[in-house]
Amino acid sequence: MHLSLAGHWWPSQLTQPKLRQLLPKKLPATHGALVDALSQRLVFRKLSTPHRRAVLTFMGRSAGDPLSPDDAAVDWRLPYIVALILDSPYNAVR
Amino acid sequence: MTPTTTSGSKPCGCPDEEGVTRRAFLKRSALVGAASGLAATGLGTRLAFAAAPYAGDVVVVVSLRGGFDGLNAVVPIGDPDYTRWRPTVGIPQGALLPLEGIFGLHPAMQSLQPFWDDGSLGFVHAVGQTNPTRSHFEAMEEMERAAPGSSTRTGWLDRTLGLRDPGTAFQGVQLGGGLPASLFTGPSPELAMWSVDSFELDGAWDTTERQRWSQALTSLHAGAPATIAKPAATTLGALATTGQLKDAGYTPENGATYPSGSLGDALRDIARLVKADVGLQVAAVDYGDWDMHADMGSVDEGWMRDHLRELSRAIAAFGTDLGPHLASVTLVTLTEFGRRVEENGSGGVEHGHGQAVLMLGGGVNGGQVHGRWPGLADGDLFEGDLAGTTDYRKLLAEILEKRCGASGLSTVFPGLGADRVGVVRTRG
Repeated sequence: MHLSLAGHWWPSQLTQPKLRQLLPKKLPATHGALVDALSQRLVFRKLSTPHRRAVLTFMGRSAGDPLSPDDAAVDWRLPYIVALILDSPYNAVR
Repeated sequence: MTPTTTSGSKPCGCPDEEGVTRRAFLKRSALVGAASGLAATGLGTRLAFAAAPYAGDVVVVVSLRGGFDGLNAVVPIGDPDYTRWRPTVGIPQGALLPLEGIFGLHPAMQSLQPFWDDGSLGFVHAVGQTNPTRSHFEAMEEMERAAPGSSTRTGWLDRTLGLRDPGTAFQGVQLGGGLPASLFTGPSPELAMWSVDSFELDGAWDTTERQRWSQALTSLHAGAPATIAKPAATTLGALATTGQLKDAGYTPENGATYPSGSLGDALRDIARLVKADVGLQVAAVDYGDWDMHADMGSVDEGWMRDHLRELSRAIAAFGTDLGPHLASVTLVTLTEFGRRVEENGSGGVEHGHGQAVLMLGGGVNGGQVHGRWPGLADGDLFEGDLAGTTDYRKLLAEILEKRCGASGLSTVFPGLGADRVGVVRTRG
C-alpha cells in the first residue's frame, strides 16, 4: 500500500505531488541528512540512531556519504525509502 | 426472479448483490487501512505468543459461494418427485454414477469416484442453517458466524483457533485472496494470501531485495510496542518461510494434476503447506459462481457441468497429491444455501435452502450419503425448498471433536446440541 502510493503506481487515478517535493528544495548534503529530512517530513521526528542506521543500510549508504541529485536515493530508490519509513512503527504510533 | 443475463458466468441480479458489493467494499477498505502499517498485508494485527504443537487434522473449508445446487450434484434420483420438479435441468438417471440408496453422482464429478470407493469421500445431504434466508449476504455471514441467536460476532474458524494454544503464523490460512473470509473474523491471527509464491514483500523483487527489506524492517521494529512488533515479526517469519518454499518449488506428487484455475491453485498450495509442516491447522478457500438462476446447462455441457468438473478435479488432485497426508486432513465444502427444488423458466434454479456437503479425508466415514432425507413431495418441502434436516454446525463440531481434539465447543457453536451425525471417525 505505502509503496504503491509512494511510487504513484496505485491508485492510478489519484493525483498527488511528485515525491521529490517531500524533500527540501536544496537537497540535503549527505545520505544521513536525507534520512533525517524524510523522517521529519513523513513521521514528524528524527529516527533513533539504530533505526537511522537501518534505513541507511537499506540504501546501501553511510550517513556521511554525500548526496547528489542523481543518486538512487533521490531517484528510483526514493519510493522504496519512503515506503520503508511509512512501514515502520514510527508511522504506526505517530 | 428475472435473470439479467443469459449465458456464461454472470451476476445473479439478486436484490442484495449491490448491497454485498458496497458493504464488502466498506469492510475491505477498513481492513486494508488497518493493515497498511505492516510490511505486507494479509496478517491480522493481533498477538500470538509461543507456539505449542497442534496434533489434530488440518481442516480445509471450501466455500462454494453463490448457492451450490446440491440437488444436481448429489442427485436424489430415487426420489419420485425429483424429475417432476426438474424436467429439463434435472440429471437423467442413466447418466448418474451410483452412490447409495436413492442418490447418484453427477457424471462431471467422476474424478472423485476413487475416493468414494476407498471410503475417504462422503456426502451429507439436506444440510441447512437454523435461520434460513435467501439473501446471499446474510446467509454467508450467518454461515461463517455459525452462532445463530447469539450476540457472537466472530467467525467459527477464529473461535476454533482460539480454543488452542497459539500456533505458528500459518495456523490459519486463507488461500486465493488477499483478505480473510468472515469465518476468520476475530482475535486469532491468520494469514491471507493469493498464493504461496506471490506472498512476498512489495518491492522485494529478488532474494537480495527480500533480505534488504527484511533486515531493515526487523531493525526498525526493534524496541517497538509488542502490538506492533509481534505481528511484524510474525509476518517477516512467514515471508521467510514462503520464500524458502518458493525457492524450493513444488511438484504435486502421486501423479496429481490440478485443473487450471483459482481453486486448483489454492488447493495445491494447501497441500504444499500441509507437507511442508509449517503448522497449518485450518485453511479456507473460496470457489464461487454457483448462483445459477439461468442457463445452468445440461448434464453434458454448460455452467453447472463445467463448475462441478473443476471442483471435483481440484479436490481429487488435492487428495491424490496429499497421499498419506490425507489421513490427517479433513476437507469440507459449505455453501450459504442450496437451490430451490423446482426449476425456473430460464433453465436455472432460484435460491433455496437445504444443501449438500462434500467431505474428503482419511477420517471421513466415506462411501455414504449421510443425513436424513426429507423428501421432495409437496408436503415435505420448506417453502418450496429442500428442507434442512441437519444443522451444518453439527458436521463441523464433529470434525473438531473427533479429528481435532476439541472439546467444550459451546463458544465455537453456541447453543448447539450434543448429537452428531457420524460423518467422521475419532482420530487415532
